[in-house]
Amino acid sequence: MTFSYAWRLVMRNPQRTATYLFGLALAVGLFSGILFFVDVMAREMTATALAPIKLDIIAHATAPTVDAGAAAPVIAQQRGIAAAEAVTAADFASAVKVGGTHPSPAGRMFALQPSYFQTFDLLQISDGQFDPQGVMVSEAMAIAQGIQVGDALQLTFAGVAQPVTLPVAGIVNLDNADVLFTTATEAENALVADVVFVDSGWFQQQLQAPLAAQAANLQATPPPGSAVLDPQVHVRIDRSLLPADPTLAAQQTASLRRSVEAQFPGQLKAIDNLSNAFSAAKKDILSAKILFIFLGLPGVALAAYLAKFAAELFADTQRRELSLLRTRGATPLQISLIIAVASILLAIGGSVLGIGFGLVTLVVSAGAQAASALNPLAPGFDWGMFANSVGIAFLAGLVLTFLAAFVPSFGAMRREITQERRITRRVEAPPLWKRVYLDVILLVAAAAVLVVVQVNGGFKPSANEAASVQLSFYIFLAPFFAWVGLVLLTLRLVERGLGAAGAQLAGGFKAIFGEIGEVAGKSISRRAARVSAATAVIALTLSFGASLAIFQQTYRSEKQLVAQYIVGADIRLTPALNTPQTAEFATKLTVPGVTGATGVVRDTQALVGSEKNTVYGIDAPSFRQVAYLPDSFFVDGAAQQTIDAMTNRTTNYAPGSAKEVLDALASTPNGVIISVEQAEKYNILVGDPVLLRLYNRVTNQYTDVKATAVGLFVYFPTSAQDSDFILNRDFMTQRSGNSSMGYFLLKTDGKAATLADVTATLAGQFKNVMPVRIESTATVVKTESSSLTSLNLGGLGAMERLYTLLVTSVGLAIFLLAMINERQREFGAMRALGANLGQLRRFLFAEAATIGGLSLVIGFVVGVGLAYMLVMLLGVIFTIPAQSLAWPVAELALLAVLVVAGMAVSAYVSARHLARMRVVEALREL
Amino acid sequence: MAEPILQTIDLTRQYRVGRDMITALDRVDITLRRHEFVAIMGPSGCGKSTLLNLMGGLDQPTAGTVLLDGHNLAGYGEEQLAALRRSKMGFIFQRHDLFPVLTVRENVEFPLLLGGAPVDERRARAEQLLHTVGLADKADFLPEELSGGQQQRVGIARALANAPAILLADEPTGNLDSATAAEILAVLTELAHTHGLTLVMVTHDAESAARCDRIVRLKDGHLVAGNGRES
Repeated sequence: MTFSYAWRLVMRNPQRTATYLFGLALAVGLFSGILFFVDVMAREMTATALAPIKLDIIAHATAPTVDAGAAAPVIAQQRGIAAAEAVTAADFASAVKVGGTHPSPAGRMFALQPSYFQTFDLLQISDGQFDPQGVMVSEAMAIAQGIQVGDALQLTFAGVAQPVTLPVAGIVNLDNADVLFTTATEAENALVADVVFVDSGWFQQQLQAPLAAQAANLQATPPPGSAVLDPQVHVRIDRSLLPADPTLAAQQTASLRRSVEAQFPGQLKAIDNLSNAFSAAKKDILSAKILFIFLGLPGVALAAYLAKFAAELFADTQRRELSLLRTRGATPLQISLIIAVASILLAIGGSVLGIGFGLVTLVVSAGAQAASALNPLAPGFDWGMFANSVGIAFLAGLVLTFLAAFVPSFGAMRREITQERRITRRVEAPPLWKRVYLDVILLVAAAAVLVVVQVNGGFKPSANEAASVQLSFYIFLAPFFAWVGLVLLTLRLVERGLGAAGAQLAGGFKAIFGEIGEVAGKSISRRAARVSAATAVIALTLSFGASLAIFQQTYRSEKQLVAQYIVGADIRLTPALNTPQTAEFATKLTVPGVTGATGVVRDTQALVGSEKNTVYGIDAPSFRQVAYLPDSFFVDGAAQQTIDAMTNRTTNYAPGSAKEVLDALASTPNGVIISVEQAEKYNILVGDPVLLRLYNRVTNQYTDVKATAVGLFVYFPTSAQDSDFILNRDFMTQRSGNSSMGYFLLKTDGKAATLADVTATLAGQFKNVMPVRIESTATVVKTESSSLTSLNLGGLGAMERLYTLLVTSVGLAIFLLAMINERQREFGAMRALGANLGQLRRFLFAEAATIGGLSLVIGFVVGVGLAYMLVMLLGVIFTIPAQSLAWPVAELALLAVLVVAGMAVSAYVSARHLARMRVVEALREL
Repeated sequence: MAEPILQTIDLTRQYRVGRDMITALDRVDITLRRHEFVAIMGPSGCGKSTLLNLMGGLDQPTAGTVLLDGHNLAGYGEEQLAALRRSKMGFIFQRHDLFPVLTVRENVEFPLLLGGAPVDERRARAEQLLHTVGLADKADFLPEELSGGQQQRVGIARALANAPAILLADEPTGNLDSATAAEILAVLTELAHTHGLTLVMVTHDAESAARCDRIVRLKDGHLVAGNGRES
């Protein structure tokens, strides 16, 4: 019975139900969309954190006699394991190229199956190919001994009487193979430079027996990190089956590791190489969740308000329906139950629609990548995480319905029961928030949180390159409080402003819209509460969209700046110490796409006072053409403001310019520019003499150098590598006697395609000739992608842009239709008194223009303020604090155009609604 | 005998309610003459308000004709009807239907504003009418600040603002106590006389109807007395 009445209450007025469901679905949709987006991000972040790990589990034999070859196939059969390969490691005493003259250090031999190269993406063959009858050598070993494919290599093992000689079949790059040197007992990998790889069959025949005997007869414990004979099983986990949640994934991996050990009890000791990556991903995902949810929370609050507004639209109608039930004898309890059941029906409908809307929004805004991540048929789809998000979104729908539908309906019923007379909003007491000045309280609270964050050093940037950054929950309270406070303050001020500006509005609108504009102006002024509510919602939605757009643009631009700062320019090429290059080498680096190159000297052994410090030498003319040198990196070292700041240990330095500081360095041969941090530490001011001790690699002696401080900086390109003292390059090379460059910086047009081309060209040209490391702004961003600095906010932004568009356009339409609905009799009377449709259209358009225009202005002003606050608060995730906001002009313009278009369409739709209105029905008792 | 200003010929209005067709008015013939005061009476649901709405061009008949000054309203579009109401008709509603966000003076000015009258003319006309209905001192009040009787007097002033030829009043005293109702009726009839209007008033109240020149009686959508043709 109760259900039947509740069902009829819901179905009786489809317009009411649809409007309410729309508001609720919008709120739940955005919230669930954010949750799903976080799930997708979690999966991506976990996968990105794992990407550099090329070997998941290494199981070391506990004794040389363990047969790893027999264990590997058994382990490979285990569920969750994609592949397992037997590998044997054994240290050789020396390796000499036959006919060569270079003495050879000790190194390590790995015996493996030919399939190992396909199973694990660990060893890159840079020349030749694997041959069961030959040997492959590491690049470092090949460079050091001048070994080429076709040469012969003689290897000697301790305890084995005869050396073995093998033809060199290939050269192997070990850049990604540090994990090969993981030991079962040591916390850190014991890297070995000279490494050879042979076929496991050959090893079994030639070396297994004598080395096993040698291992069995060892008199003393071998030094840590060494391997006389170390049988291993290398395991690749099926990562597609791992849960997206890093905690669960870590548990599953640990469980796999234990089961590997359990299959061969006492024989294998397995090491899980993924655990560190999981814990880093876990921290980052937690921070990302906090970030996303707080960035999206205002939107959810707005949509909830819209749902409440939609529910209120039809409150009078519902009240009459409930009164009718009362007159037919329904008890208050029965009516309460009917309201409760109707609310539950609406909650279920709205939540289901909202979750569907959230999924669609995610797929529309985040694209195919998100769609595939949410494909329940995909292997490894995390049902637990998905169910969790759906459950939270559903719960949110219930809570919103309780607040938006049940509470107002229940209140209406109570008023009916107590026979209170229905009174108009105009004469109602101001709402509680207005009386207690909640808006002011919230803004003060936001300011207090900001101060607390400031005092606690929340804005200080992380010094560590690529470090995982933790965000505190309370940091986000400031923008949230500020945003809610601004919502309420906007309501208060717009209402007050419109109320006071009646004459001006009437005059202005009369000039624009004709005589009816005068009435519209007065109507808006005297209906300020309703207009301000609509304005506040649209404006705050717009501010939400604008602040996110500005924040994201700033975030993107900061990511690029940080990458340039870390690299120093677009590309950095670092030669190995054993293949030193002079400044002239820069000319060889100007391959197509490179517009400038400069060599930088680096002395990591230099002394300032008694402390070791890295000193750099730059060629100012070429350096300034190549390096990333924004003025914000420099301070005016001679200014009293800077001196005071250094004295008082504040950061209020006088702004400087890159040109002035580099000019000063270039014009002073023994000039040195110094980081403010070090200048403060050593109490150095511009003009002071600075005594440096440079290390001479030729004589292995220190040379005293007297330099003069000519400028100061806060950041310097590549100063993530502690570049605190910068000299002129010529001066430094002459005094130290060391003419080799630490690295070379290259300038390109900065485009991703050019960076990739130049990097590939340089790698092709030099990688097989000498060990070099090539980094670009693109690779730096990639390697940091597990940290917060590299979060992809694009998907979230797209989702929230779609939401902003929906709320601003549809929301405006709801408000206008609501205002018509409330004033059916008024519009009916206007028509009866002779108002034509053109006049009513202009009347409506004046209202829409007021709401839209005010929303645009307030929305953008508040949006910029919020964006500024977000950038200030989240500056902690950038290495370099953002100096200013980056403006996504096109996006903001699009947002404005969408609001204006939404306003025009809403006014048009409302006008059509009005045109269809039947005057007689409008004038009837509603 | 004065010439007819408004005539209805075989005027019929039917409504569809669910699957049923309800006939609210059935072939009603009435003639109203200039300066005539006519009361429309009958029990609830007999079609009084429907007849008034059709006379005022607020509703379209299912069949039959409404002639205003000899012109068939069926040939008028919505906008022409609006213009006709603005220039020739005044409406008084049972619930006053004043615009709550406009002051008393602005409410009275509204029909003139729609017609594009200059501000000074509007202002002078409104003040004159408010003086006439005894509310000159309430000109800057909002409707909610007035009593029910005062609001209806404003409604009367507003209905007269554009100097209509015919005044249509739908139970103008229906929401008022008897003393106030009598007062309002006195004002209404006096002003109608003063301005030489034709007044059509829907009422339940026999006393109010007694003040009129003629009483039209309706029952179940049919005209049972007072069609005006006999006089």
